[in-house]
Amino acid sequence: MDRAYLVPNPIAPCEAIYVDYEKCVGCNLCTKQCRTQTIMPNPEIGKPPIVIYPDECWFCGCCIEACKHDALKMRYPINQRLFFKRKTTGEVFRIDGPDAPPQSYFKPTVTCEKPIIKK
Amino acid sequence: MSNHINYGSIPPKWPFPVKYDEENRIETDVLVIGAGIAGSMAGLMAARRGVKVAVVDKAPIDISGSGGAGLDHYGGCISNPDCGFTPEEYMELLKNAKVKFRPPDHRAYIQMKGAWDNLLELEKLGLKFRDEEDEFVGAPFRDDKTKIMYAYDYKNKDTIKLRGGADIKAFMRAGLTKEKNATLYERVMITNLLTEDGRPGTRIVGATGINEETGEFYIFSAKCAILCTAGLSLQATSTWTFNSEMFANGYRADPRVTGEGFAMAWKAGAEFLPEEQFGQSINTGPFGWPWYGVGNPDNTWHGVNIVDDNGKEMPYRNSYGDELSTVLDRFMPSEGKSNVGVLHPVPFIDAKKIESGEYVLPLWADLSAFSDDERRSLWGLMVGNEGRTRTAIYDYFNKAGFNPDTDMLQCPVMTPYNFQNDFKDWYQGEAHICKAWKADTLKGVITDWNQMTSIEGLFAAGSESDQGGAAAGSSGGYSGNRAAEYAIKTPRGKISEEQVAAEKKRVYAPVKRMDDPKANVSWKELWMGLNRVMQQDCGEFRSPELCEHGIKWLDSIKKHEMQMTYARNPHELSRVLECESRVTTGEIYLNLCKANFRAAEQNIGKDKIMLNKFIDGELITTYKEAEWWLKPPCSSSYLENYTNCRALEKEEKQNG
Repeated sequence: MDRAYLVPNPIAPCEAIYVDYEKCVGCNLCTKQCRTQTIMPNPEIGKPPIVIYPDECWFCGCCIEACKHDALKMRYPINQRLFFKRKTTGEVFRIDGPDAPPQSYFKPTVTCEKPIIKK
Repeated sequence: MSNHINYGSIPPKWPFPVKYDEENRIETDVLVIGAGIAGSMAGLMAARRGVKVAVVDKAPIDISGSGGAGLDHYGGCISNPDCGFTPEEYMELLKNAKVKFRPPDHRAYIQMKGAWDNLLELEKLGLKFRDEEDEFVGAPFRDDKTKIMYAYDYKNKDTIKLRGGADIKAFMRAGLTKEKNATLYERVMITNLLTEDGRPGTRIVGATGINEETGEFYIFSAKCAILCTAGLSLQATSTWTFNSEMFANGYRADPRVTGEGFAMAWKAGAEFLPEEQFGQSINTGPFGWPWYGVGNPDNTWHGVNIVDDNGKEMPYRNSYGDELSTVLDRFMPSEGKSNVGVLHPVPFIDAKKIESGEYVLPLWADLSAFSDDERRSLWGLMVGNEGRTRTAIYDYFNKAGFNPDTDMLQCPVMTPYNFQNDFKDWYQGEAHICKAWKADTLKGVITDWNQMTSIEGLFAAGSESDQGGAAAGSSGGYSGNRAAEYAIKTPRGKISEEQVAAEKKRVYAPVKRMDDPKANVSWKELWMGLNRVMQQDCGEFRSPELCEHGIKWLDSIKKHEMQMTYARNPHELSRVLECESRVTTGEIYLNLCKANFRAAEQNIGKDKIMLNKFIDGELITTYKEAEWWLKPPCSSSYLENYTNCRALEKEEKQNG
């Protein structure tokens, strides 16, 4: 292993938004839902968007909600992934930690039908 | 490296056509600057009065503004028919309240009085906020007749839970696109107001702006403008947070709220109300605790059990110190005592018991004491709809295995006494390493009963204090109506081409100097530099000399480093311009602070309201009588003033 690069430091502590290149179809809907221009369209049409300003992300999740292909994930910084404790057993887990239990709560949010926004 | 970009390669081209300097001239009657909840409602109401409206926002309007990521409740909805007090009674209570969490003035009244009608308007736009699917039948927070669900105080019913509130802005945008008189301009940032002869203090005739994607220039000619950029006052915490690390999810308010509204109004010569609260902020730190993800029992997580690491429960108390035994008690007002201007009941966390080891940290937020309805309402309805929690907390935590039926969430760990701290928001954690500077402005520009500022044709709207979205919408709708009425009777003013040219020169300077080796200041350096001025010279300790020092320091930065700040694309350009607005915002605060000292020294105006404006390099202070909004030529009754101002609107509605 002898690979090393002369590259600048990462611009933000965490990458903020992860784009799954396998799932992304390059529709850019997510980029149309970003208030800070954190995620921008790829200049090459049809290619996945570029997370260009992760240091400006508000972590509002609007881009994730806009994705119809489940291709986006938020990457929260370590200091926000806190613990939770299972009352019945006393077990302690961490959000997104190595020992996280499987999802057991599946109820959707209490909401109403969203209007269709055409752009 | 994941999908972080590789800086070693040639950077990709900007994904939009770049059109710096290209002019778009738009003629409208009412110009709405900023289309959050207030601006969107202002645009809707103005358009319905038959005038041409341009609604402008830096971001996409379906998600823009502090409420753009969602809103879980309509607070201060005093005008709803089942509320325990009328807006008029509420004003009296607020005036005599122990904690003045919002100034008891005409603006507060306007916000409360219109909140219910505003919510009904949203319902017509498709926000089905009631429990229409009967999921919560019989729950103590639900009115089974109206299907309305209330929050925090189940007896006085002044706060309404918003089912579907996560998409509140999408409903508003959809509504706006149906109005033939309204045109939306998204990704356009207004940079300056245009005044009649290009001089401060004269009538508003339009504004200029730039597009954040293409960089092109906009010149709006308008009969009047409504500032909805957290402009009337500000709920937005980030506006005045001069913090070196500026974004990330430690912030509650929209990071795009950067003070243009205030800066524009100041430069146009508008009068500002006094400001007294400056200093460190605990709740706005970068990479702080996840909002509403650590149990915040005096807000969204109201009523939740807080237990120590061994399961010992913290006793709930109201702000009169009475212990509350049942969960329902936490949602009921204190009997025989005022419930206005007092804080919600919260768990009392005895610092001494932490120190002695009786309570073991960390603390945990335990939803299990709740009934199924209450738990589902908190987690699924409130956390599921509140801005920045549907994805960040609800989806993320659920997918990570958190189950509200069985699990408890960890609370921040900190110095024991900070948990007590007079019911302060301990769940947001202690002040962060980077000192966040903040002014708790509840005031901003002065507005009259028509919500017009001291500048003719410049209206303002927005929320005041912690009433958030409800107040914003109500205030916006009211200003939209008043602005439309003004536009109908007012001839168009002439734009000063000199002012346009000067603004164009200022706006594009950072891109023009991109290749100049002397232009070596990034927007981030400018940002951090100006933060230090405010942190140092306008912090907890202030003096007349420090005010002058700060003003001089900002002025020096303005003349030197600000003239060396570069922008390599329209995004960076908008950031540089935001920094320039923040420099002005800093100047506003330092000048308001200076005026406070000057007044104290001369011992004047104690029983009056001080107003400050800045014209031709001079700070001008005047005074207005206390409660002037209830004194001649105004009527002495809130209701009468309000009704008079809406007379024309009512008449038009009656005539269809």
